[in-house]
Order: sequence, then structure tokens, then C-alpha cells
Amino acid sequence: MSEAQVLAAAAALRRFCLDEIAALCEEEPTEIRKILAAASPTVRTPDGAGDRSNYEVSDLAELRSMVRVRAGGHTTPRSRRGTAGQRDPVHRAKLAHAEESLLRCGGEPSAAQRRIQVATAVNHLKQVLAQHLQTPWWMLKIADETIDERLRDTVDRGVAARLQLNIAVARLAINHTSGHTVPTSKLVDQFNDFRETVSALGEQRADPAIHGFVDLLTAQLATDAAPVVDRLVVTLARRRIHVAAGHDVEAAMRTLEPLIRTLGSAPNREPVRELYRTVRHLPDGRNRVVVYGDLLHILPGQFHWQHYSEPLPGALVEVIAEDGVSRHLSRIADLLAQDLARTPYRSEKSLIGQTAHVFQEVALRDAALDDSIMTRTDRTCSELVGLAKTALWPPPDAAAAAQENR
Amino acid sequence: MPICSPYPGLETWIWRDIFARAAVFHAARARLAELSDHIDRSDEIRLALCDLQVLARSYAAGQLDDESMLAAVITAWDVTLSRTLELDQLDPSARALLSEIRDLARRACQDDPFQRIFARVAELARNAYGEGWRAATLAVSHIGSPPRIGDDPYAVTAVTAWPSASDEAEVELRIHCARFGPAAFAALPMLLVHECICHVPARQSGVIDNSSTFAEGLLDWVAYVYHEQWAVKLDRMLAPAARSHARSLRDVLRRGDSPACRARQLGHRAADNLQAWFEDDREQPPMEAQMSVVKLAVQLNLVDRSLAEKDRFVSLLDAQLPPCLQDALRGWDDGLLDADQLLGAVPAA
Repeated sequence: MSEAQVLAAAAALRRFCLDEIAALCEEEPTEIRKILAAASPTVRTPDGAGDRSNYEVSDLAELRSMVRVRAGGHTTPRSRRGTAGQRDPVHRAKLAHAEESLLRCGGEPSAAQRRIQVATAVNHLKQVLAQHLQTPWWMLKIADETIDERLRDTVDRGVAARLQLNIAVARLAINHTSGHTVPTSKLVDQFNDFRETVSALGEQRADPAIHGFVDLLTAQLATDAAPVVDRLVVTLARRRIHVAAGHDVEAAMRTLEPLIRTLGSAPNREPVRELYRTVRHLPDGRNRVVVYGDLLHILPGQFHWQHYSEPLPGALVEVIAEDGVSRHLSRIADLLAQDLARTPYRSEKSLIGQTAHVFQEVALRDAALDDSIMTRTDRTCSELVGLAKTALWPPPDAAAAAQENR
Repeated sequence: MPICSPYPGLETWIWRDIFARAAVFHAARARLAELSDHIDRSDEIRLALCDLQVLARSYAAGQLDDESMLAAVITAWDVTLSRTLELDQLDPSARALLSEIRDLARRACQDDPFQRIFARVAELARNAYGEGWRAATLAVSHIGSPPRIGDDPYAVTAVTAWPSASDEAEVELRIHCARFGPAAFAALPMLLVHECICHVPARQSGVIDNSSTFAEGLLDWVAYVYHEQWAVKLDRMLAPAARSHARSLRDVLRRGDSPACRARQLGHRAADNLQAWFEDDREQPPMEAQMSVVKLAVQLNLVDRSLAEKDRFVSLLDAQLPPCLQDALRGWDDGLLDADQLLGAVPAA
């Protein structure tokens, strides 16, 4: 047995010094040296006696037959190759790994590394799909829409739904890493398919895939090239819907549709330019205004407003307010917008952090009007900091698209 | 001798508590497998280990130097063990084991058992990696809660970091003091082999990703192969317990439903698939095929490419390997491609 082990290690290494082969064997170097000397000339022994001298296998076929003879009945058990059968438990782990990877790689800062991570996750997903579709996994094309139909025909409804959800996420991720943006009408279609698929999940859990889908779909609404105000409100809306998807998928979906319809796919839409806008002066002297929603949390308590609608869920609200209240809102919205425009830090996290900082300053200034303002501001800032820490897929990589188009 | 912890950041009394028990386990290492097996079967053995823990903790906080403290712990434990051995109702096998452990514990010495194991593991790992090896030091620290939820006995974990001011890797052994027992001690060689094979020489240094199928999966499989070969070389007397607890630790680490567990499952399966490919396609005997996986993984670990690229390689190692990967692997096996070129040659999918 020990002899077979040493000769097998020699066969694997081909050219080696004594230390190297000793690391692969149970035997001590003196014993190994003897075994190798006995295998000469199949293994050429060095002229010198130094441990760093190189041994070399001169006849690999002969050495292998020596290993087989020496190993006799005591071979290392033949390795367990994974089966392609449906009951292979590793495929469950593969699917979960693919789901988590597709969500997690959104947080990878390097676009090049993100592309590799997506390809890796897609490989795992294809291997899971292949066991149902009886096709070599590397022949599957995720973009091929017949996969969905074939799954529906062959797999239990819930499992098929989970796989379809992952395919949808993979398609979005592949598109995203190649910098392709999806037109708004297509985004709405994808959302409708997604809603249908989620409702078919049944007992199947697919939380990372749901999160991944929401992230990737809303990533299409964002762009690094937009004005800071747009980037702030879009990232807050995206982050809030990401968090909501973790608590209540149905509620998140109710928010997602208006978000897509209001914003639309980033390259062609009109960016949000204001944190405060008067929509209409009402006959009773009040105003109907659209305002960045978090500003309402840091108003002094004596200022009242009436909720009217939510044009951009998680970011912009439409309220009816007295003239004095709308003037106050307008002032702090301007203050925030000016501060954001001045900041040299452009990341989404920095914009959120900067917003929290401005809120603290406003609260300190207005604390004389209402001592509850500090508590409410702290609560709002704490939520903002939590949102800033959420890792999201960035906007599609415009550089990758440009490179591909060249 | 000064009364202070040799490990910065580890409080002296905690170090002395851990050290006293580790010194006893080291002295009794030839019977550690039986001792840990008996914990679930014998109340007396469980209580004896609790006594050791209480005594170590109580003397650790005192003013005796390390050598005198260890001697005092062993003397006091000797007394409690002798009292237990006088019990009429004691199971004969537990009696024999406790009696033997008492004799072995009397030979406990004050050398740091963690450094002793680490030095030998690092020496063997250096041979495995040759010129690609990087120097490493060992640190020991204490963690307030066990590394995993559940009641497995492996209250130790390890991480490898590269302090910015140093070229040396720092392997940090993290011990949850309250549950540090014979099984955890016996698992130390495997934990340290994992760190020295998977992380110390890794060229993607600084990147810690517990969900990496390469670093925590494929290479972990390789670390187990090495551990199996090295167990006797590391410490002949500890070898039976070290092998048994390495296997048990592997089951624990693969069992759960966390990303880290899945990375192990997938990486181990990928290694099995690769070994099977070497057997089928290259007609290698199973032993050689296993060594070929080890050789390739070690070379890949030294390639200066990102962990993402190495994970992508692992993702291709399904039961059926894509034809283009098979071509690249044949090229590597024939010596036409090195590991870096192999990684460069593999397709996305």
C-alpha cells in the first residue's frame, strides 16, 4: 500500500524533488527514497543525493501498471462522480448557491469581476436545469425561451416556477453585465411574468432569487449619469423596495409596478430634478406639492399636511399643505439639493449619508420649534444609514455596452 | 516566568485557562479519540472534564507562573480523578480510560501545544507548496460564542489574514473557551492544515469569501487529502483522534444550509468529478488521479488571478465536463499548459 502511494504520487507529479513527493505521502523521505530507487529506471533517480534534486518519471504507462499491481485490493476508492439524476442532493445546493451568487455579485464593485461571477452562477444554474431537460449543460442557452416551456412540461409546478424565476434573474444579470438596458415596455412585461411566476412558487422558497430579480429590474431605472437629485431618489426607492421584498413580496410587487411605470428605463427617461415641486395652488390657499418624502419626518410637529398620492414609492410623495408648511419644505429641499450638488462624494451610499447629515443640521436648527424633532430625525437617519448599507446591483455598465458595440 | 499571555489581545487568564486544558489534552493525546467518544456515554467522564475546566479556570486567575499553575491544575485534577476512580459503580471501560488519562496527564509539559502543532503543519505545507509558500505565524484568540449554532463539539475556528505591515500571513485560531474539549483539540491539526493549504499561500490573498467553492471547497478537499497523509507525520500519538475528528468536522461543516456549507459541498463534489475525469479520460489509477487533483489545485492556488476566476473554473467541474475544458485539462496534464494558462483557456461556459 505505501509503495503504491509513493509511486502514484510520482506518477501525478512526473518531475519532482524529495520534499514535494514527501508532502503527498505518509512515508518518511528515507523510505520514499528507497521505493523510488527500486522503481528505477521507470522513475529516474537523481545522480546527487540532495533532497532538492529532481526525480523524473521516464515511463508513465509502466509506472501506472506498477501502481495498479502494488495497490492490489487496497486502492483509494474510485472517486464518486456526481450523477446527473434528479435526486442528486448536490443540485439542491447548486441551485441555492446560484441564487445567492446572482444576488450577491451585484455588490461586487468591479464590473469585470461581476461578469465572471455571473458566468459562474449561470454555470451552476445550467447544471441544475440540465438534469431536468436531458441536455448537456454547456449546450443550454439561458436566453433560449423554449427552456421555460420545456420546464413547465417536465417539472412540478412549484419547482418549475423557482427555476423560471432564476432563469429570469440570470437573463437580467447577463444583460446587465453586458451593459444592455431594457426598454420600459419590456420591463413591464418582465414584471408581469415575474408576478405570475412568484404566485406559482407554492411551497418553494426562492427569497434570494426574488431579491435578485427586484434589484436587477430596478437597476434598469438607475443611471450613474443622472443628476444627483435623481440618483438620490432612485436609489432610495430601490433600496426601500429591496428591504420590502424581504418582508412582504406582495407589497413589494404592488410598489414595483408604479416605480417602473413612473421612472421607466433609465437611458430614455426624464430624470428627477427637484426634491420639491408645487403642482397646484388650491382655491383654499393650500398647495399641492410633490416632495422628497423623508423631509416630512423632520418637520416641526405643528406643521401639518395631508397625504394625496405617492408618485414615486419610497421616495417622492404628493401632499396638500398650508402655504407656510410648503415654504418650509421648499427651503429644506433646496438646502439638501444644494448640499448634494456640492458634495465631491458621488457614490449612492455617500449621497444617502450626506442626506442624513443635512437632516441632522436641520433638526438642530428647528429643535427650538419642537423638541420631538430630534427623536424623529434620529429615527429617519438611522433608517437611511441602514438603507445605505444594503448592497444593490449598480446601474447597468454603460462602459461594457460601449465596448460591445464597438 | 512572567504571567502574561503570549498572544496579543488574548487576556492572560483566558490564555492560561485554554493552555492548561490544551496541555492536558496534548499529554493525553494518544487516548483522545476514546476520551471524546466516552463523553456522550459516561457521566463520570463528562464530569471529569468539567472538573478539569473548573480547575483550569480557577488556577488561571491566580498568581502562579504558568509552569506552577499547570502543575497545580494537574495535581488538583489528579485528586478529583482518584476520587472518581474509587467509585464502585464506575463502568469498567470508563475506569480504565480515566486511570490512563490520569497517568498521561501527569506528563503534561508547559510547551505551547498550539505552536507545536502549527509549526509542524506549516513545515509540511511549505514542502507541498515549495517556492510558492509564504511564511506564516500563529495567533490564538478567544471568541465569546461557538463558531456555529448547534451543539457540535468543535468550538474552534481559524482565519488567515495578512497584516498590512507584514509579508507574513497570520493564522488566527479562535477558540470558544467554554466548550473547548478533547474533540476540539483533536480537530486542531485539520483546521490548521486547511488554513495552511487553502489560504496561507493563496495568491488571491486578502480576499476572504466563505462562499468560495474554490478556496473553501475544492482546496478544502485537498486539505483533507493532505491531512490524511500527514496525520502520523504531524504527531503519531494524536493521529487516530486527529483523523477521526477531521472526518467528523468535515461532516459538521458540510451539513448545514449556509453559503459556507454549500461551498464545501459543491467544491468537494467538483474535486470528486475532476478525480473521476482523470481516472476515466487519462486512465490514471485512483491514487494517482487523487494526487493529480491535489497537484492542480495547489498550482491554481498559486496563480495570480482573482478568486472569481478560480470559482468559475470549479463551476465547470460538473459530472460531465464541457469538451473545451477537457481539452484544456489534457493540455495541462500533458505539460503543454501551466495552471495560469489553463485558467485563461477555460471558457465562461
